[in-house]
Formats: sequence, structure tokens, C-alpha cells
Amino acid sequence: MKQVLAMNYAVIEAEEIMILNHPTTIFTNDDVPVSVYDTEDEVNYRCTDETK
Amino acid sequence: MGIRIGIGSLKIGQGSTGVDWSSYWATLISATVGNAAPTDVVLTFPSGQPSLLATDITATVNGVARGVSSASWAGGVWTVVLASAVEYADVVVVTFKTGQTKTVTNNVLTYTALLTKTGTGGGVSTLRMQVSSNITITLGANAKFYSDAGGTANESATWTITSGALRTIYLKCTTGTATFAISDCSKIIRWGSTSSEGWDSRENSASIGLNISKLNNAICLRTFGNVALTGDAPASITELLRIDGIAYNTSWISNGPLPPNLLNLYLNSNQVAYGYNGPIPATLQSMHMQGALIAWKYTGALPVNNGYLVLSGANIEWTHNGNLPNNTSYCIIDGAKINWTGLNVGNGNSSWFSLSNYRISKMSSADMVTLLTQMTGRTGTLPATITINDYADYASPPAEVVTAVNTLKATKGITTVNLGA
Repeated sequence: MKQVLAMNYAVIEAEEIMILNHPTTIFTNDDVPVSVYDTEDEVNYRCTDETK
Repeated sequence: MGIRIGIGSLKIGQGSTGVDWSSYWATLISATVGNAAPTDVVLTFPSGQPSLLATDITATVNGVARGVSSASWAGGVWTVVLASAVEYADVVVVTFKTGQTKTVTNNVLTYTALLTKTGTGGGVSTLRMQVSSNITITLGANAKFYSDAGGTANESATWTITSGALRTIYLKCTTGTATFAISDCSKIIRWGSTSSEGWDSRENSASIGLNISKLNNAICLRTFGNVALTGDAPASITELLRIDGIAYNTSWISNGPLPPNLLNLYLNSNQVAYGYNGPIPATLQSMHMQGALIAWKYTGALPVNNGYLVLSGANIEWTHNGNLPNNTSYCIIDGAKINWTGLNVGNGNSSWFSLSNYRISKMSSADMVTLLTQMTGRTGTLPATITINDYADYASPPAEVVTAVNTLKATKGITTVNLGA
């Protein structure tokens, strides 16, 4: 299990992609990608890039 | 010249006619208003008093003064004509010049809602009703019914709804406003159903202005999209009260209690201003309140059989420090004024669990361990992702919380637990 602190934004790619916009500690499985971002623009860029 | 000195015996309430008006009003046999002449309040006395005029009586309709246009006598019947028509289920009270009042028996069956064009007016609204006896809805000049969803076939100004199953028709309001006159509102038993919208009106489709308290024999009301609803929900509604359309002009203004035997509630719009202060029906099995203007306020437990729970809105003020209902199966609590400080989320099989914004003061780590432990030991399943915010130590949870999270994940097969601020 991994533990990730996201102070602003996070994208969790589990069974479904979940976007957090709230300071949170994320406890998830080791094989679940978690990305942390500082701004909404970064999240949007990340999500747009994902759909290309 | 002789002088005559008269000694009268005028009683209080007795005018120059010598009639004791208080006593006369007390002889009133009946006060009615009927469907054939909905402006006429008919007061029946044992005998007439033609000296009484329109200025001797006033009226209110639903508590609001309604002018008296004229009055006339025919034998013992005094017909008082109001400035505008009484409608179905209106409460009419007349007040005599003595101050005595009488609630009028309202036998009017018709009720007229109002359609308003939105956008281009080219959109088509879908209307579904079930009635206990045949009724007719008649539209004003700026709207028409159609038999097809495209809004082109069999254009008509009237729709006769036959009793039996839920009936469907389509309409457009292309200009300004149009009346929507229901011949007998008492016969409507469902406006929509648990599976179909009763009023579905989206882009460029009409908005309907409707006092929903008039639907006092309906057991279901379900709308989606453009509506401007007023009035308290009638007590008759049991199956479903659903007013949905967060992306549309979907409004309802009410501060009254919900129907006492309601099973399913779904309010989803930022223009729904539901401001009741008190408990919700104990019968509820699902409740969805989502909207910025919903200001329901209550301190106490939720209905014991409620399974689906969504409370989302900045002005919802629910306060409780006990358990969530035992069979909670879907849970979203998200409101700055909500203060649920319980540590037990029930035992139902849960498909969604998010405590986004659910308490005023932040939860301690000790309480977090208690909550996580209850969730670990509960009977029902939990979804793959769980979110619990309003946690004081979210940035650095102590070891006992981490352990409780790990135990919860392992025991209930949860992939992700989010503990947030």
C-alpha cells in the first residue's frame, strides 16, 4: 500500500480515474498510479494529454 | 304642534334598518363557489336582505385579499362576485361587515397553470399523466399539443386524458405565455412515474408555472428541466417527489413539510428553494437534496429505512451525532452547514461513499479510528473508493489511523481511501 499527500490536486487512476481538488492523504494500492498537481491547469493538461 | 319623543332600542350591530346583522349572519345556511361560475360566492340565507351591498363583505383567497366586484340578491341567495376566478383547492374565506367570517365550500375543479416560452420556443416538452377519470387540458393560443416527440403531428389546443395507464403527449409554447387549463385537477393521480418524467422540458422548451399543492390527489410528481413550481408538496404524494434539472431553470419555492408518507425524494437544482425547518418523512427510503438554495434545517436522525442518501448544498443544516440509517447504501454528504458527528455509517451494501463536507469541527484521529473500525466491522460491502474529509490530521495521520485504514482496505477489499481536510 502506498500513502500520498496531495495538498492541492491529485489524479488517481484506479478502476476509474478520480480527480481530487482538496488537501488529502491518499491510501491506495501500490499498482494504482497517483499524480499530484499544484494547479487546475496542470490537471487539465494532464487529462487532455490522456485523451490524445 | 305636538311633540313626540321617541325612545329607541337599537342593539349593538344593528344598523338603521333595525336588523341585528350579527344574528342575521348567524342564520347563514351555506357558502359555496362552483365550477360553472368560479367568481361567484353563493351565500344562502333563510331570507334575503337586499339592503346588503357588495361593500358589506370582503373576501380572501389563500389568505390574500380578493376584491368583490358586485353582489346581488335572489330570494335568500346573496351572490357575491369576486374580482377573479377561484381555482381548484383554493381556500376562500368571506368576512361580513360585523367581522364574522365563513369558509366557503370550494367546488371549483379547474386549475390553470402557465406555460412560458424559453429560448427559441422551438423545443418540445413531454407531458405524462395518469388520471382516475377522463379530464381535459386546454392550452392558450401560444401553445399547442402534438402527438409526436418531434412536435409536428396532430396539432391541437386540447388534450383529453383518458383514465387508465400513464398517458403521454408533447407540446410547444412558441411565443410569450400560454394558459394550461386543467379541467379537473382532482383526477390527476400521477404526473410522471418512478420510471418516467411527468414533465420533461429542456433547451428551448416551455417552462411550466405550477402550484404543486393543487395536485392533492397525486401520488407521484416527477419533473425534469424548465419548471417554476410553487406551493407545498401535497400530502398525497407517496411514491416520488422528484424535481430535477440542475442545468436548467428548475425552480421550486416551498417552506412546508414534505408529504408525510413519501418514499422517494429527489431535489436537484440550484434554483430549488426548499426551506423547511423540521423533520423529513419517516417513511423515506431514498433522499437526494442537491442545490445551493436548499435550506432544509433539522437536528435529528434520518429516517431509519433510508438507503440512498445525498445531501449536497451550502445551506442544508442537518445536525446529528448518531448513526446514519442502518441500510445506507449510497452516501454523499457535502455541505458547509451540515454537522454529522456520528461514527457509524450503518451496515448496508454500499455502492458510493463520500463524506466530503459533513461536519463543522474537524474529526480527531481517535474518532477517525472509531469510524474506520466501524466500517471495517460492518456487515455490508463498501465501494472501491472511500472519501472521508473534515479530518484534522489529514496531512500526517498517526500510526493508529494508518493501521485502521490498512485493516479496512484489506477487510473490505477497498482500493483507495482518501482522508482529506
